[in-house]
Amino acid sequence: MVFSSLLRGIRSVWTYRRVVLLFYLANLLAAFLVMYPFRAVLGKFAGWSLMGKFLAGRLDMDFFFELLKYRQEVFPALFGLLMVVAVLYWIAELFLSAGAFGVLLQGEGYSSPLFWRSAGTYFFRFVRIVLWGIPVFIAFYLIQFIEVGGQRLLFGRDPYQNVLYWGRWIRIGLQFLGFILWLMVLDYARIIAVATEERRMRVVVWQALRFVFGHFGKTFLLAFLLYAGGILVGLAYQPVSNALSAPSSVTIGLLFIVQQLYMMFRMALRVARFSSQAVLYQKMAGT
Amino acid sequence: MRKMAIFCVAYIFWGWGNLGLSAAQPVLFPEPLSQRIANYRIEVRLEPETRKLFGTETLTWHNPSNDWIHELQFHLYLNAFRNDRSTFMRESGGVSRGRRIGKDGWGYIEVTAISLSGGEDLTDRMEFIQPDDGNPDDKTVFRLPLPRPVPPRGTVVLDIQFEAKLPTPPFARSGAKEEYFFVGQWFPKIGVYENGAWNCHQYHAHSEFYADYGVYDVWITVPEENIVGATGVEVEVKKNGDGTATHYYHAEDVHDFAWTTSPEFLVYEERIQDVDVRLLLQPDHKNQARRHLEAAKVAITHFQDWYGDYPYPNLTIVDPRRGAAGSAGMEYPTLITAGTMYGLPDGIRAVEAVIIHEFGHNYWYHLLASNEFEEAWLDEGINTYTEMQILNDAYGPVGDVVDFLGIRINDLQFQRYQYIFWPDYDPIVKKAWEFYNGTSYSVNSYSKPGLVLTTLKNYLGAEKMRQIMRTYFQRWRFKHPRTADFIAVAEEVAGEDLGWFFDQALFSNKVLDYAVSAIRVRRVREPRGFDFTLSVKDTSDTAGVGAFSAQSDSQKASAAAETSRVTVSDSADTTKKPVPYENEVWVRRLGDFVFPVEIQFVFDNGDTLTEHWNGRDLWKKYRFVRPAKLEYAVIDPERKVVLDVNFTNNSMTRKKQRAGINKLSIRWLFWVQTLLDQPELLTLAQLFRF
Repeated sequence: MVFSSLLRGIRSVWTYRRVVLLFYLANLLAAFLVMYPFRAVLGKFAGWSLMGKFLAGRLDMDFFFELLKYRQEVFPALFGLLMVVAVLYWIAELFLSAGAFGVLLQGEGYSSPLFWRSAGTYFFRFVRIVLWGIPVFIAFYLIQFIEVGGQRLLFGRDPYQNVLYWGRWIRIGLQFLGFILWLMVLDYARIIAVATEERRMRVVVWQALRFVFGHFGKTFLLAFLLYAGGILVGLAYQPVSNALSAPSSVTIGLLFIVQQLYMMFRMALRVARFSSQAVLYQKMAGT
Repeated sequence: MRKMAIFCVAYIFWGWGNLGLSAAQPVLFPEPLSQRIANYRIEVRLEPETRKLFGTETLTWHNPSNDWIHELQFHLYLNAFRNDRSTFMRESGGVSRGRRIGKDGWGYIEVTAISLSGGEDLTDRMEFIQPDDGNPDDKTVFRLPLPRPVPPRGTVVLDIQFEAKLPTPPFARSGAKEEYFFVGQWFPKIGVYENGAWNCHQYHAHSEFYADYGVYDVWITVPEENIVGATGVEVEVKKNGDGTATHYYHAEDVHDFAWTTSPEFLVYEERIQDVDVRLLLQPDHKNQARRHLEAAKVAITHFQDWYGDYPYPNLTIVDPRRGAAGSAGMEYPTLITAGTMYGLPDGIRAVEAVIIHEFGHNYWYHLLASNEFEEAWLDEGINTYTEMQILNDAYGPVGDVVDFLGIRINDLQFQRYQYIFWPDYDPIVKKAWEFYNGTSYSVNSYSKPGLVLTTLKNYLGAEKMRQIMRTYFQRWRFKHPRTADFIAVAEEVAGEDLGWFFDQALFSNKVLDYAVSAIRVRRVREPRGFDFTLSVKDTSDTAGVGAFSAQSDSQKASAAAETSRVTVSDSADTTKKPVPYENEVWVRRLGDFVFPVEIQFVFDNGDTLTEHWNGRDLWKKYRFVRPAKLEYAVIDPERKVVLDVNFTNNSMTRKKQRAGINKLSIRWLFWVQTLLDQPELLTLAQLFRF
C-alpha cells in the first residue's frame, strides 16, 4: 500500500506540473528578494575590481573577509530580510498548499479555477492547523532531549568528548525525526481538512495525530522514503555542482540551470509527498 | 653536537641537605648555555582533593649587575586568582580565553616563611607592591628588603615555604579540573634585575612573563597512579609507600618550570630528529595521537632546519582535559600544551597550528627570553610569523590551516582577517596592559606583527628573511633581546636602513591601504583648437603625447603630487595600429603608512606593464598612450604587501566583472532557496560547534 501510494504520488507529479511550477516560482521569487540586494552589495564592492573576476573561480577568502569587514553593516540587514522573506514564503507556501491539496484530493487533474478556489477556501483553515500544530511541534522537538537524559543517566555530568560528539549526532537525528513527524501531522491534517470539510481544526489535528500514529509503519515509511529520496538526490547534486567551478560565463550559466533543476526536483518531491500521502489517506480511510 | 653529548650524562651524587632528599643530579649541558642567574630547588606536594600545593623552595640568585642589591622582588602569579579585586581580574572582567573562573574556583599563593639560607627569617620584611597600577588589592608582586645587600656579581640563597591553591577550572593557563592538574606560574619566582632596577610586573589580563635563566631541580609528589609531565627531564620516580610518588625533574638553562599530572593521560613517545617527544594525551583523543606527533615533527624539523638547534633533549606535549581549555595552547620550556576536540576533521588543522605555534615559543620566548610584559610581539608576533611560514610550507600553499568542505583558508588569511578589523587601535610596541583592549593586544601582539614580518619577507626576499631570523636567533639565544636588537639584526643582514619600515610598522598605528581609484580609457582624438596642426599619428610617434593630456590640471592642484608618468608605446606599434588609446589610471594611498608598491597595467592585447611607486605622495596618475585599451590596473598583484588592509580596492577593471558577481549571487540564491525549502537543515549547524 505504501509503495503503490508512493508510485501514484510520483506519477501524479507530471499531471500536476503546474502546481510544481507554482511552488518553484514562489521559492525562486522569495530567494530572489534576498539575493538581489546581496548582488547589488557585491557589485558595488567588487564589481569593478579584479576580485570580482576571481570570484568566478573559487571563493577568495581574502575577499570574503574584506566583505565582512567593509560591508559589515549589510549582513544584519540581509539576515533581517531573510527572516521577513521566510515568513512571507511560509505564508505563500501554505496558501499554495491549500490549492494543491484541493486539486490533488479532487483527483481529476490540474484545474486553475479549482486550485485558486481551494487555496482561498482552505488557506485560513491551514493557518489554524499550523497554530494548533505548535504544541505538537514542541512535543516533537522535545524528543531530542531523550539523548540528553540518556547521556546524563549513563555518563553523568562529565562525559568524555566522544560521548558528547556522537550524542550530538543522535540529537540531530532526533531533531530531524521530530521535524518529519511534525510535517507528517501537518500534511495529514491538511488532507483531512480538505477531505472531510471539517471546520474545527483542533479536531483535524487530533485526527491527523491519530492517523499518523495509528498507521505509523505506513505513514512513516512513506514519509521516510520521500525524505531519503530527497537526500539521495541532494547528495548526487553536490558533486555536479562542485564540478561546475570553471570561471567562465557558460559554466556559471550551467551551474544556475543545474541548481534550478535541483530546486524543481525538490518542489516535485513536495507535490509527490502531498499526492502520495493523500492517496494513502484515501486508501486507509476508505474515502 | 647537541643531544648526543647531552645524553652523556654525568651523574653527580650529592645530598640535598635541607630538602632531605638524595638524588642523582644529571648534567645536561657540560658548559652552561646561559648565565644561570635564578636557580631553584623545589619540593612540592599536591593535595588533589583541595587543589593545594605545599612547597619548599631554595632560590640561589646571582646578581648579574655591578650594583649593590638592597631588595629582591618576586612574582606570586597565582594571586591573580585570589579574588575579583586583583589587577588581573579587574582588567579581564573575570574572563580569560573565553572562560570564567568557577564559583568556588579561586586560587592563591601564600609565602608562609622566607629566610636567608643561613637561617635569618625575613618573612616580616615582605611587602606587596603594585609597580604597574598601584592597585592595593593586587598581591602578585612582593618586595623583600634584605638585611645585607647582595654585592655586585654576588649570590644570595633564600629558603621559601609556600602554600598555593589552584583555580578551577584551569583559568588563564593554570589550574585543576577533576583529576587533571596543570600547574604553571605556581611558585614564588624572582623578577629580573636589569638596567639598575627590578623588572617585576604584576600579573595582567593580557600579559605573559619574563624571567632569568637558571637550573631547576623539582621534586613533585602526587598520587602514585598519576602520570606526570614537566619541564626538563625526569631523573627519578620514587614511591613513598603512602599512596604517593615523588617525581624528580631536572632542567638546565630554562627560565620557567611548569608541570602537569593526571591518572588518565595516555603516553606516546617518539624520537623526532634528536628530540625525544612525549605526548600526554587525553583518552578522548586517542585517535588523534598520530596528528599530534606529526605536527610535532613538522614543528621540530622546520625550526631546527630553518632557525637553529633546539638544545634540549626532550619535549613534552600536554593535551588538556575536556573542560580545561583554560590551560590549552600554552608554552613553557620543553613543555607545551595543545588542545583538540573529539571529531575534529583532519582538514581543520587546529591541532597542527597550536603545536607548531607552542613549540615555536621554545624559540621565541624561551631560547630568546624577551620581555613578554613589555614587548609581547617579540615572542607572539615573531612566533605567529614562523607559524604561518611553517604551516604554509607543510600544508600549503592553499588551505594550510582549513581545507574542509571546499573551504580553504591559509593561516595568513586568518591573521589578516583579525588584523583588518583592528588595524589602528595601538602600535605594536606597547606594554601588554596598556593596549586598548584584549583584542587590540591580540591583534598587535600576534596577527599584525606576523603580517609585518611577512611583508618584510616579501620585500627583502624569503632567503634574506630567513637569514635575519636565524641570525637573530643565534645571536640572542639565552639572552633578553629587545625590539631594537631585532631591528639591528634585520638591518645588518638586509644591508639597508629599515627604520622607515619599522618606525611605521612597530611604533605607530599607521594604516597601509593603497587603491586604484579611477581608470579612464579614451581614444586619442586629433587636437582641436588654436595652434594645433599635428595629426594623431604624428602625435603618437613622438614622446610628447603627454602635452595633450589634461592631467596636469589636477596635478597642479596638489603640490605634493609627483609629475605624471607618461609611458608611450614604441612607434612601431602605433604605426601598425593607427588608433591609439589614452589610458589613465589614478592610484591613491588611503592610509598614512608609506610603502613602495608594484603596479601592474594589463591591456586588452595582452601587453603588461609594471611600474613601481614609492607611495610617498597621496596619489599618482599614470598615463599610457598605446594601441590597446587598458583592461585593468592592479597594485601589488601578488599580494605581497599583506599589511594592506584592503586588497579588493587594489585593482580596478575597465569592464564590470559580472561573471564573478553572478556566480556568488546564484550560489547565495541557491542557499536561500534551499533554506526556505528545508529550514531543518539549520540543525546541522550544531555539528560545527567544535
